[in-house]
Amino acid sequence: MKADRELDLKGEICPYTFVKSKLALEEIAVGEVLRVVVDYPPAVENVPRSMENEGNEVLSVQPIGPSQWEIMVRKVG
Amino acid sequence: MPHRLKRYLGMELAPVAVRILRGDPAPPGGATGSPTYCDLVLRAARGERFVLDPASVRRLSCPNPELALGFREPRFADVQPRIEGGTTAVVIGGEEADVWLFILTPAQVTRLATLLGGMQVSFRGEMAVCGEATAQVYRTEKANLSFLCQGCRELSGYRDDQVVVGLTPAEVAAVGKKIEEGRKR
Repeated sequence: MKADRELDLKGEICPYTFVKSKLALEEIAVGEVLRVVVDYPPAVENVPRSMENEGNEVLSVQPIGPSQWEIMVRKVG
Repeated sequence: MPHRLKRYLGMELAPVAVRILRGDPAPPGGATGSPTYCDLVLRAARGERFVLDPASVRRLSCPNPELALGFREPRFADVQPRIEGGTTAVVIGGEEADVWLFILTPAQVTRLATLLGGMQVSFRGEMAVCGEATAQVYRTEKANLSFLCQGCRELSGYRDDQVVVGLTPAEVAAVGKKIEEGRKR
């Protein structure tokens, strides 16, 4: 799946993980996909949750390395 | 008893009772708006009372308490400290507590630690008031100290000289008794 925008949040902790994800999502168009990479375990739980709480569609959450995850989110209008 | 400790330590803010309801229906009056759990604790220390139910916990601007306080299980990675899923509501403020939260200065923690006969604490600067000070104390039934997280410090108005200690009701009672005994001597 191709992302329209990528956000590398490795090394970031709360609340910056979900705050920066929300800001990045505000900058893309409805229907576009944001790829977020995190390496902080609470972020792999709270970034998808905050995206869903804002009404967006979490397409996938997958490990991509030791303690690294990729979160794919589609912006919903 | 918690108020005796407040006087003894010379606390600026009141101790905050946190009640974790598991299986019981949530009381009416879920918190409104999108505060953080740390905000609600600070406001409860000034006399307010809040109910977090599944709907209001999802509206919080920080998603960590939903996980730390046991409203849901993690889906992708384990996160600690947390209470296992099954929480139906959390009441912040009032007089009934599973965990008492004390907003203290380091000097006050020194005096409290002496009363407790020492503290073995665990903190990482993340999931702080919800995880380190509330969930961990609820789960282990032992006092813990949190130096808070960036969210508390930058978004919820905690001062740099404030930390949060969680105590069980039994620990609060034991410490209150020690204070009373000290007065009698």
